[in-house]
Amino acid sequence: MNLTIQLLLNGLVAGSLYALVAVGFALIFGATRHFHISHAAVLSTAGYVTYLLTSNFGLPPALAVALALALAVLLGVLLVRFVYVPLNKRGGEGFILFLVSLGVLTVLDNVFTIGLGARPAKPYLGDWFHTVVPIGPFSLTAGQITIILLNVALFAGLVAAVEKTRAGKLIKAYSGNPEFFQVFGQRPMLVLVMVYAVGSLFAAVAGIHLAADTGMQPGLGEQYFIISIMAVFIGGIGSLRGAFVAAMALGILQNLLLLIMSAEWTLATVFAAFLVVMTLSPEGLQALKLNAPRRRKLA
Amino acid sequence: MFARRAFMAVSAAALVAGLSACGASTEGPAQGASEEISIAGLWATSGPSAVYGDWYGNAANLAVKEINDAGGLNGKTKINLTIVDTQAQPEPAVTALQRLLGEDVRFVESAFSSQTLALMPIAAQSKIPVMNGGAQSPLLAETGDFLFNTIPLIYKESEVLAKYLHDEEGMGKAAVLHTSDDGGVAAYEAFKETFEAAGGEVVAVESGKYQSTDFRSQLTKLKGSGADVLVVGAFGLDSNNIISQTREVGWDVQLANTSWVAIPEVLANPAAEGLIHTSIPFNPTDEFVAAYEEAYGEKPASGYIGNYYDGIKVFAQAYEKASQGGTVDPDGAAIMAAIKEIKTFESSYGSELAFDDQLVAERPISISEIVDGASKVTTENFGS
Repeated sequence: MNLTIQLLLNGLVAGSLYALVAVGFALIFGATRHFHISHAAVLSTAGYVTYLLTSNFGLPPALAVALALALAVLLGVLLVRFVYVPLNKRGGEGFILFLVSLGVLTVLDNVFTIGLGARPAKPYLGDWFHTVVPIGPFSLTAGQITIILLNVALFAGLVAAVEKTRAGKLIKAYSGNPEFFQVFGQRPMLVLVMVYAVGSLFAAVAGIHLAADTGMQPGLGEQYFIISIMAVFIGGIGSLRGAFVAAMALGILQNLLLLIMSAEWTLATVFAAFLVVMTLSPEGLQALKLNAPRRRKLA
Repeated sequence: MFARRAFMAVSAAALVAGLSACGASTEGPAQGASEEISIAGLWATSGPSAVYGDWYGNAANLAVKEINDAGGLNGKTKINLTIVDTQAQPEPAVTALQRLLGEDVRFVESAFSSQTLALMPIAAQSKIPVMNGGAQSPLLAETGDFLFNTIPLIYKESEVLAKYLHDEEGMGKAAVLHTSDDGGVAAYEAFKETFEAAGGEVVAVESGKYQSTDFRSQLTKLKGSGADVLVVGAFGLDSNNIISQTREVGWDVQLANTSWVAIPEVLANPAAEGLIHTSIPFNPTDEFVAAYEEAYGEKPASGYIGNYYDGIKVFAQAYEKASQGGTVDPDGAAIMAAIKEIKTFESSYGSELAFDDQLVAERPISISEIVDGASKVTTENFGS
């Protein structure tokens, strides 16, 4: 029983990281249908930049983290403003956008690989990060507790913002029908910048945690991205809540599976479960009407 | 239209590349020894094991420079060393070797069990001598006639570690967390066998992928096993992550590993304090220390440096012997035969380098402990 609870706690940490990436991607994908695979690059950029700023430039951790977050957000915004939108105007859609995005991911990955020699880049955020916090007979590190809390707070904030604020309503309106949105004299660029900025911020938080925890390395962003898109698809495309719940569930499932198998097989098993879900219900678990019938909406 | 033009451009480029490759290979080794021979270093210069690759590269470059500065092999054949990054993985290593064979490489320094085991069938087929000074899988002793190891294989170290933990530290129950590459698996199997032979019991074992960063789940499972000691069957930054995360899951257990754990990242890790590990005593000659310090501005920090330096020197000595003073151009089989014949070589270790019948180095093994960020020998030449 003790083991189950500790694994559940570990699952919450893994789930939080998946959820941050997934919710960010769900927001972007839901609104734009851009298969923005460079989302993975935004995640790794945040981690690498934190490392560069703390280790090479000697900035205090808090400042480095703030700058890394800002830069990751900027990267997301620049991508949509100067790559996706111009491309889209010249008729590039769907698969073309995906390929370009994949190109950006490859280039950025390699820039950091060349620059830092593909070593795991592990920024030092202070001793507190790795301090063990006992929770009864169980324990997590302070960094892990922080990421769980941040994940919940950011998600709750996002849902509230989408529901309650004017910006959120604009995003919902655009997601529902982009052409109609323009007919009413609204500027789509504003919405695009908003979703990419917020989506990138979410991924960046996960990226910085991953870097500080075990080190950022080539391929790590992609690994988290793939699991997160699984969550987005399972949760139903366009649903922030769906993505969040599915990501948390995947993280917890992956850890609880350890009770019956060895660690190397858990991820493969999660993928197999994903295949089954997708075969039964290509639109995700929502379409199975497991919960109250709800039309697809952004949040 | 555009596609076709691009295709033609690509084929033209391929043709040119192909032709020039043919041109290069016809030059090949002619009668007598050549003016220059190519050798290669295949190891990780990126990824979690790159820290070893830095040492290997420094060592190999230094040895090659010394030989070339002295006029080359037999005083006339210069050595040209190419280092290729394999990330310690088999696939990139095999690709690199196949490419290098086309460039007439004559000797390869390799490392890491998985990649070296993958290279050996190809090397043996092409009769290319391979040296290993880092990998320790017992399978390396059974790869045929083209590999020599300047490092003892894992059983020698495991035996000493197991005996020490059981007899001296009084530990009866051990847990093992290892990576699933050949090196990690070998570390586990060798420890289990030797620890049980010493009278102990391996009460729990978990594994993780090489280069996976998060081992907390496995550690959480192992924590409940009641083990007296956790043996970390992993190297490079994987071992460092495991060491940190053992403490992070709140497990205050004695840690142990073999000589590969003594890398700067682990030594600097406060969680590694008190870790017991085997070590191969490396007391380099003053001459070697001075040469190394002049080249790299630091003292040689690890026996691995000695292994890869010695590897080149062994090859050079054997090459000179097999080439009969530069009158013939020896093939790989002749060079390997010369190594077997010479058998005992000078070494940067400050002691002789002697090979056993399977061309594995015989070296004494000590017990060390990580204290105040440094590895300190606690029992010299334990059990020997």
